[in-house]
Amino acid sequence: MLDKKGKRGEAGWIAEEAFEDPALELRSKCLAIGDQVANGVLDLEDALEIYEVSLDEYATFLATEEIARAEAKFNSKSPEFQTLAKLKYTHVIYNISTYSIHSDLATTIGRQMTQLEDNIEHGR
Amino acid sequence: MKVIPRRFDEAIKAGYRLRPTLAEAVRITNKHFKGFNIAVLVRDLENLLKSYAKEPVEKEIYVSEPPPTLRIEYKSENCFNEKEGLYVSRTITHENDELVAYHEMLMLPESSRKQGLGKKIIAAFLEQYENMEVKRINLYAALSDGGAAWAKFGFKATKRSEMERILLIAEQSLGEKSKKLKVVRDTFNNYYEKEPDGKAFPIQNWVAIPGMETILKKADSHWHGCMDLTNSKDLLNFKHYVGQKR
Repeated sequence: MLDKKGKRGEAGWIAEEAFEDPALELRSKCLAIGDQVANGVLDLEDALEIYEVSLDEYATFLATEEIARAEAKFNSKSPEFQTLAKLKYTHVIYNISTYSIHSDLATTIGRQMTQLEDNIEHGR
Repeated sequence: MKVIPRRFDEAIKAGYRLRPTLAEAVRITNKHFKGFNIAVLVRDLENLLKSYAKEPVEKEIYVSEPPPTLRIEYKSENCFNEKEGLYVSRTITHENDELVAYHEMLMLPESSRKQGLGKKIIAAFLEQYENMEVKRINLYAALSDGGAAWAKFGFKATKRSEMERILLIAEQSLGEKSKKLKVVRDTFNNYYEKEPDGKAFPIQNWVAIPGMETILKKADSHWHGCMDLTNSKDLLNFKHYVGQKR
């Protein structure tokens, strides 16, 4: 495994194994899409095409991330509370996947999510 | 948390050679590597590696200063054998008043493949990096498809010249009219126009482009990478990939 010059390094197959799970491979692509869109390298439609990810897959990724974020945030709360938070987040993300991801809609939903999060946190 | 000699005793019992001396190892660790739980790391490595390493196994913890440096090595007798060798080497050192880890060597025998052993080793060290408040991990992505794999993990490329070389390979491989090549170029330009001397090129955005993985696996696509453990987003992703969800 040493290269021709005898240099030391980290064997790639060890890292590669972590990505044999298709879900992680997809996650890697979705993270790249988010980054490229945020940096203005690509718009979302082009990014989905280049990285060969469907809108459904990307929306599901965003939903999963949001749920994980909510779960971490409300971790100290009761299980019932966590379930409620997950349901509400899932409902919001369902809206994204049902329509399409355009910046105006994403901004509006983002505001709703922040409000929702605030409400949950303060028990409103 | 202070490292106590009893913990070092556990390392000695597990067969580690402490250099230059036990007393120096304790002194330097207490002074510069607070939080390092040597007993836990030794136990983790024994549990993970013992059954795969061909005896005799050489295990060593080496400390020195200045600069304060801690090196952990675990290698089998046949450590340079491509199919059966086992070699783990990590060095943690102080640079500009912060701790930096160097992932110098990670080779595992083929018999350990498909069992997630590699990521468990990475996770075991990561736990100690967090205990010690290590700020960065540096590595050289080169061996056995490493040019592609470590990019997926979220390591950022630190040397512009290496990215220029890989961009050239992409230009030759993808074809001038390719839409993917345009994105590869735009990604490069977008980053280096903002950060001409940048040391955190997002190479993960290259490797995720279909076709680029093959290019990054080529022998000429080696690069130096860095993981910023103070970047909570990158750290979270890294943990996700090694199986620690938080």
